Amino acid sequence: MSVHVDSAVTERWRPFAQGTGLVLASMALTGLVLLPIGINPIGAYAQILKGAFGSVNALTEDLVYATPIILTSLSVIIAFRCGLWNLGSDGQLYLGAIATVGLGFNRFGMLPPVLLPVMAVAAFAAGAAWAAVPAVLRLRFGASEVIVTIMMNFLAVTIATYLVGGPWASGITPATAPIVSAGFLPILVPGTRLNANFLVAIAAAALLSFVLRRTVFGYQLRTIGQNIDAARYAGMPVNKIRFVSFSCAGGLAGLAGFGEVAGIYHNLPNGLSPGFGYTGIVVALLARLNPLWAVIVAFALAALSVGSGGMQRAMGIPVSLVSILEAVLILLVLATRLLERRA
Amino acid sequence: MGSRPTLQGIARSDQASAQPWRFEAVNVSKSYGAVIANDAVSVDLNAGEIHALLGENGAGKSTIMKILYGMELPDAGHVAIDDTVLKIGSPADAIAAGIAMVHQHFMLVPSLTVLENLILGNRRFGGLMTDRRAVAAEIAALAAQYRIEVDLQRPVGKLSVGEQQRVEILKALVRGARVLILDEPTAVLTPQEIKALGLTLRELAQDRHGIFIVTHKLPEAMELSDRVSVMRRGRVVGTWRTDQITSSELVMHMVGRSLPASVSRPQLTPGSTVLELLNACVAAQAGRGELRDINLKIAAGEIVGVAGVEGNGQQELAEAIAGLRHVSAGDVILCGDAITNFPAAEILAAGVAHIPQDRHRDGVVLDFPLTDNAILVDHQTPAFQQRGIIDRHAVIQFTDRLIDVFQIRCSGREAPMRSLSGGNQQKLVLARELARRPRLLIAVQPTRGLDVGAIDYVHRQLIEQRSAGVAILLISTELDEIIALSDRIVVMREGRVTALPDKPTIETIGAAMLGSADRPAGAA
Ligand SMILES: Nc1ncnc2c1ncn2[C@@H]1O[C@H](COP(=O)(O)OP(=O)(O)O)[C@@H](O)[C@H]1O
Ligand SMILES: [Mg+2]
Repeated sequence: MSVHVDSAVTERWRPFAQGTGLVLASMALTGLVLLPIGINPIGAYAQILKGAFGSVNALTEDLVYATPIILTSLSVIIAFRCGLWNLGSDGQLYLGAIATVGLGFNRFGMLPPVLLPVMAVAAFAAGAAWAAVPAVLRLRFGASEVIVTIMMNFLAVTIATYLVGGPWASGITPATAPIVSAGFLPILVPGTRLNANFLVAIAAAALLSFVLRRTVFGYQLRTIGQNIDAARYAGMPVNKIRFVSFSCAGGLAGLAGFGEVAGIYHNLPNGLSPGFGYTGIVVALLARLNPLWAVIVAFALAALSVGSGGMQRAMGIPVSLVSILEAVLILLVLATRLLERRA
Repeated sequence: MGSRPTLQGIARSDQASAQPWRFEAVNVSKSYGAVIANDAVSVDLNAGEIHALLGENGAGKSTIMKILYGMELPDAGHVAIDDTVLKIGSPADAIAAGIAMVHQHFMLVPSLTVLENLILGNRRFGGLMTDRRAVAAEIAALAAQYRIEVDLQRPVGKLSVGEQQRVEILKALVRGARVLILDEPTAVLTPQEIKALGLTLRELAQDRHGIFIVTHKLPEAMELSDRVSVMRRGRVVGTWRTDQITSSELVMHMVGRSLPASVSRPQLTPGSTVLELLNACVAAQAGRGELRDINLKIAAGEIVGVAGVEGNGQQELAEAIAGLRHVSAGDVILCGDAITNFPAAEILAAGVAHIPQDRHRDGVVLDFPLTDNAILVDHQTPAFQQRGIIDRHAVIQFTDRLIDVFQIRCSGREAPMRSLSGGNQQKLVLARELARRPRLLIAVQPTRGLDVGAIDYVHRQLIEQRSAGVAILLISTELDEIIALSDRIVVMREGRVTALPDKPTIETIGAAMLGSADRPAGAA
C-alpha cells in the first residue's frame, strides 16, 4: 500500500520538480549565450529576482501581470481538453476589452452596483461570441480552428485600433476616452495596481478545475478530448460540448480583457495586449493543461517579465533576454515531452 | 564490434541455417508499480523451433515478449544467446541482434507502398542509388520462399489487418531476423488468414528460424508449435513438448482448475419481441460496408446469433441499432417504439447495451483511470451524478465491484486503462455493459482476445442475462460460440441476413457464410 501512496505523491509533484529543473536548465543555457557578449548571467538573474520579488510593489506587479495570463491559459486549456486548439485568446481578449470600454462609458446610465457585473458579463459574452465563429466553422464545415482563430486575432486588433483612433478616440493619448469611475475594479492593495480581477482569475481556475474533475460536463469534455470515438459510442453530444467549451474559452479570454480595462487602464489603449494570448498557450502547455498548475506557471512567467524590467533598469541589459530565456524554456519543455512520449 | 552476439552473424555465414543456436530469457522479473508482471521467468527458443506461449489475460506473456525484444527492461534476470548475455536496451539493439517482433498495432507508414515500407530505414537498401527493381525482385523472392502473399506495390493504408501483419513479418525477414516474436497474431485474422500464417511460420521454422508465438487459442498452439509454455500470474507454470501434452491438461495449467465442457442453456420460452428490424438499410460510406433490407426479430430471453465472415456488415448492423450509423431506409423498433435514427444517448437510455467490436477504439479511454472508464456509458444516470456533479463515492464503489466480480487485473481503480493488458481492458468493457441490465444487449465479438477462463465467464454471463429476460444479439465469427449460445442463428453475407434451416450444423452455416461456392479462398 505504501508503494501506492508514494508513487501517487511523486506523481503529483512531478510537474513541479520537472518545471523547476527545466527553468534552471534554461537559465544555465541562456547564461552560456550571455557570457561571450560580456554579461554576467548570475548578476543578471539576481537583478531579475530582485526586480520580481524585491518589494511589495514588485510582488503585486507580478500578480497584476499574471492575471490576464492565467485567464488566457485557462482559455487555451478548456478548448484543448476537448481536443480543440484555441490560438485566438488574444483576439478574444480584445473583444472583451472592447465590450468593457463600450459599456464603461455608461451611456445608458446604469447604477454603479450594476455597471461592473454587466461589463464583466458583456466581456465574457463578447469573447465567447468571437470564439463561436471559429467553433461553428470547425464543427459545421471542418475549417481548421487553428487558422481561423489566428486570422481573427488580426481582425480583433484592427477593430480595436480603429475604435481607438476613430469613434472612441480620446484625442490626447493613443487610447480611448476613459470609462466612468463606477466601472473601475476595486484595488486589493492600496497604492498598487493589484485589482479584483486577480481574484476573478483565481476563482476561474478553481472553478474550471472543479468542472473538469467533478462534473458531468467536464467528464464529457475530457472524454471527447481523449477519445472522440468513445464519446460518440457513449452517446455524448459531441458537437454541443465542443461548441460550449470553445465559447467558454473565448469568454475566459474576454474576462482577461475586462480586467485590463476595468482594473488597470480604465480605457482601451492601443496595443492593449503584449501577446497575453500567446503566453497563455505556453502556460497551458507547461502546466500540462491543468488549471491549478496554470496559476503557478503564469505567476512564474509573470515574475520573470516583471523582474526583467528591473534588470534592464539596473544593468542596461535589454528585456529581450527574457524572450530568449522563455524561448529556450519552451524548446526544452517540448523536447522533454517528446522524449517522454517515446519512452 | 565482434564480441557482440548476434543471430544474424550466424545466419549470414555460409552454413547459415545449419548452425544451431539458443535464445533465452533467464530468471527475468519485472514489476509495474504493485503488479508483478514477470516473476523469475525463464523461456528458451532453439533454431528451427516454434514455441507457443499460453496463459490467461494479464499472465505476463506480453511483458516477457517485450523484454526479449528490448521494449521493456527487466528489473532482474537477463536475455542471452548461446549462454552469452545479450545487452538489449532497445528494439534497435534487438533488431541488430536478429530479433524482431510483430506488434498488434502495426508500425507501418500508411501512405507508402509495401515496398517502400520494407526499404524504409533499412541500411542495406539505403541511399539514392538503390535499384528499386532489383530490390523488389529480391523481396518478392523472399516472400515467395516463405509463402507470404502480399502485393508490394500497394499502399499500406489500403491493406487489411491481415495483410499488414504479413508486411510486418516480411519486414522482419528483410532485416535479417532469425527470431520472430508474435504477440497474439491470430486475434485479428480470419480463419483462412490464420491457416496461411501457419504455413508461413512452418516454412520459417523449416529454414531454421525460431518463433515465439503468444496465443489464446489452444487448438492453434497445439497445431502449430513444437513446444508450449504456460504462464500464470507472472510465472511460467511449465514447458512441454507439444506432442506430449493434451489440450485439457494445458487448460488446467492455464486457469489452475479444469473447466466444464460447455455452458448449459436452460429451456426458456421467449417473451415478447424486444427488437425488430424492418427492411433496415444502411448506405455504404467511404471504406465502410452497407446493409440491405435487414429483417430481424429478437424476443426477450432469446439469443440470436449472427454468424459470418468478418466484414460482411456485422459491425454496421450493431452500429445501426445503437444509433451510431444512419439508417437510410426501413425501421428499427425497440419494444414497440420506433427508435430509427434516434441519438445514441436516447437509444442507450432506452435500455440498449452495446459491446462494440473495436473496444480499444470505441469502448475505452486509454488515458483515463478505470473509474472514469467504468461510467463511460452511464455517467448521466442518477446513480452516478446528482445535478451534474459526479458522485465519486458511487463511481468508486461501482468500479471496485466490476474489478472484483470480473477479476480485472490492475494496480488499482485509479490505474490508467493503458496500463492494463488487452484482455483486462476488454473485461472492463464487458463488465460495464453487462452491469447495465439492459433490455437489449448487442454483443459484438464478446470473447475475442479473451482467455479460456474469461470466455467461459462471459458465456455464463450471457446465459444469465438471457434467463433474466434480456434480448441478446450475439455477433461472432467463432462458430462454436454461436452454436453453443444461440436460440436462433442467422448468417450475414454482403450486408444481408440469411435465415437458416432448422437445426443448423457447422456445415450448413459454413455454406451459408460463404454463399455460392464461387468465393475465392482467402478473401475476407
Ligand atoms: N505498462 C504497464 N504499466 C502497468 N502495468 C502493466 C503495464 N504493462 C503490463 N502491466 C500489467 O502487468 C500484467 C501482465 O501484463 P501482460 O504481460 O500484458 O499480460 P498478458 O500479455 O499475458 O495478457 C498485467 O496485470 C498488466 O496490467
Ligand atoms: Mg498480452
